[in-house]
Amino acid sequence: MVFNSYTFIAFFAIMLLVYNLPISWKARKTSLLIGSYLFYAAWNPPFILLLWLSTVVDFFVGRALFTEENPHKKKLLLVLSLIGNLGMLCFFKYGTFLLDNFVALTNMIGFNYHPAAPSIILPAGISFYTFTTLCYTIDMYKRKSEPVKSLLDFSLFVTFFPHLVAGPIVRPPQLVPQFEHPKNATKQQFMDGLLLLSLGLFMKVVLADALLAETANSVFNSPMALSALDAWTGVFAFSGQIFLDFAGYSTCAIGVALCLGFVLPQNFNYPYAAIGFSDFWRRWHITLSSWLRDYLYIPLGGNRKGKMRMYFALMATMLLGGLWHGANWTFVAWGGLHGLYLWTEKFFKDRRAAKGILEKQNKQWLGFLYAFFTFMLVNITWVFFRSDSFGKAWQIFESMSGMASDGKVLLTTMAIVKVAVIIPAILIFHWFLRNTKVIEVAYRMKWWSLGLVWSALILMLIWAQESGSAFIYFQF
Amino acid sequence: MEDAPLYSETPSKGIKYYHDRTPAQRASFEINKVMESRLVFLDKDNFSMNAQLDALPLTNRPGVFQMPSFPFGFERTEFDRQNYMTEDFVKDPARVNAVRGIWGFLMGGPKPPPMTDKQIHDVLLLVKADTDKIKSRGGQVLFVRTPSSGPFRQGEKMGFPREKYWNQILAVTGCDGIHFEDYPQTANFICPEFSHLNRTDARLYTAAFVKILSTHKGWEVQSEKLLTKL
Repeated sequence: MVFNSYTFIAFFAIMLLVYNLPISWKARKTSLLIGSYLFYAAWNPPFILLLWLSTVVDFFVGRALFTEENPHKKKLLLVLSLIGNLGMLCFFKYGTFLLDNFVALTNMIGFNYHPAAPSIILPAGISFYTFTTLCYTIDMYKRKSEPVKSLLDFSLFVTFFPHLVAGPIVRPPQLVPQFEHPKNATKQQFMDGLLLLSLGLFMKVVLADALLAETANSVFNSPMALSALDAWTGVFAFSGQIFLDFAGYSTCAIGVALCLGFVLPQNFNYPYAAIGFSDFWRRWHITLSSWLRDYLYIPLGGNRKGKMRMYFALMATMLLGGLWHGANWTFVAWGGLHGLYLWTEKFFKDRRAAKGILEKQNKQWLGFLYAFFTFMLVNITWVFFRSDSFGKAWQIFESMSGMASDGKVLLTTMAIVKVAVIIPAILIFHWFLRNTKVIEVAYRMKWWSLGLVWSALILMLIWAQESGSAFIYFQF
Repeated sequence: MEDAPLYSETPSKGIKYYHDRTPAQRASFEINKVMESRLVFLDKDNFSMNAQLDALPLTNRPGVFQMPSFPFGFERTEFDRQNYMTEDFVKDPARVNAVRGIWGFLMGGPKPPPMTDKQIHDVLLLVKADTDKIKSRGGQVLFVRTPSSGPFRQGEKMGFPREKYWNQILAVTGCDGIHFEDYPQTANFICPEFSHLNRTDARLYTAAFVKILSTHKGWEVQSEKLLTKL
């Protein structure tokens, strides 16, 4: 079920009604859990079994990990849990990819091996809920937090429908304590939630789907090389689309949870105003990058074991982070390019520190220039992210450089105008709001101006007339 | 999760989507149906944000192809998938002429050289292979040529002469066919924009077509079924 559908509106209205009935807290939580399973089953009912399996196994293994004193048994339990969780992810998400690579390798060394193509359906949101349960298991192993007391609370933590399919990736201490005591959304929370839901839908439906998607798709699906203007416009369109689509989903998720009285962590913080790549990753998909930092980069050594180890940990984290997004080498290249950017940034930062040059506050215009430069480099990485093969990525790069012989003109003037208006608008918004939160901005507005903006968002949603297309991050 | 394929996609994609729809997509479809039949919605093709923006008079760079948008009322699709032009549209010469202009635009531009007899024959052999397959499974195949008129029909006669195409397709495949010009009751329809019948004539044509099917071709047709909801 996608947020931008009538089914979700009906579902959410019923959930709000049932959740606010004068019944016990346990019954209300149970209604949320059943609703969350229905929300998930709306894609493919049998995959609920996987979700149950993952929930039940991790609940009991997590508890055992926390109480087990024997270090060998503890390690064995951890390994079993990791094999279970990651094994499921590997099979469903990377099964075909692994087989394809194995076949290519065997053929390369001379074996004529051609197995039947497997037909594996990717369960929606498996990457997200696997990471959610993994962090619980690892936290229990390290005794970083208390085990969740009831299976109901743990199931709701894993399955809570606003974050289940595409995040934000929630850690147990962020959500589980909110299930322990009865809670209702305050009037303020409810209104904030509705505002965020409207804003998220506006980002997704109006900006991403109606105004940018077609341009990005036609450029990246074009079988022929394009003119530099068309290629750059397509890449800019995609960089806007991917942000508005995914940040739109996160904003909807946070808003929906808030309408029920629950607070989910922020997932985006004006990423296109980032100055440099460390800053970018503190602003883009925050819950994933902090997950990768805490559960991959730091265990790999982080910055505690010397420079070389730090560079290795950084690159390994970015490569695996890339692979998390999809079973294709282009995603690995996307992660690798970000890793290279981070290396370069780290290198110069360390060199300046060694020379005793202090970090200073940039002037406003200079900061914007750095942010713009960062944004342009991020655009290069999106080419790998959006292309389905290296051949396609190369064709786009060639077109962007203006070196493609006989680059075709493809986009209409209106398509170019849409991108030329929306992308600078995003950059300017991000720059001026980079140190604030959208809800704080709303609080500062006069009631009538907030009313006007909110009405405009809803009217634009109606005017866009887009049908409920899926969010890009569902496929990850 | 796939989005619904556009009408211009292959039928097999549409059929696959129909069978693979998730429970959420099925539910959304049913809710949409109820809402769209009881509430007023903007016509997406003509009045949505993108349609209005695309209608702005901006000149494209030379070489850019932009599909022209059809005027309001040319194409209304009902829930039973019947498609018709509104009375309003038929009575409005400006909109009718706009569609004629679109046909002219789509027919214009550079054309490949005409196909040789050999090339035509090779294509027809491919068609024969398909019709033979249908027949071997117990199916019946009948080719139908629906009405067109005016300059559109003149162009068809020049570009695709009957002897070279229609007659050949029936001869090579060994199938029967109904050409609208062969029967007085269907030969003289006038298509407002040269290519499609208005709603009243579409009903008359379908009734006549059903009659031809049963009287001349020996097909048993449940005419009521074909004519309901039209």
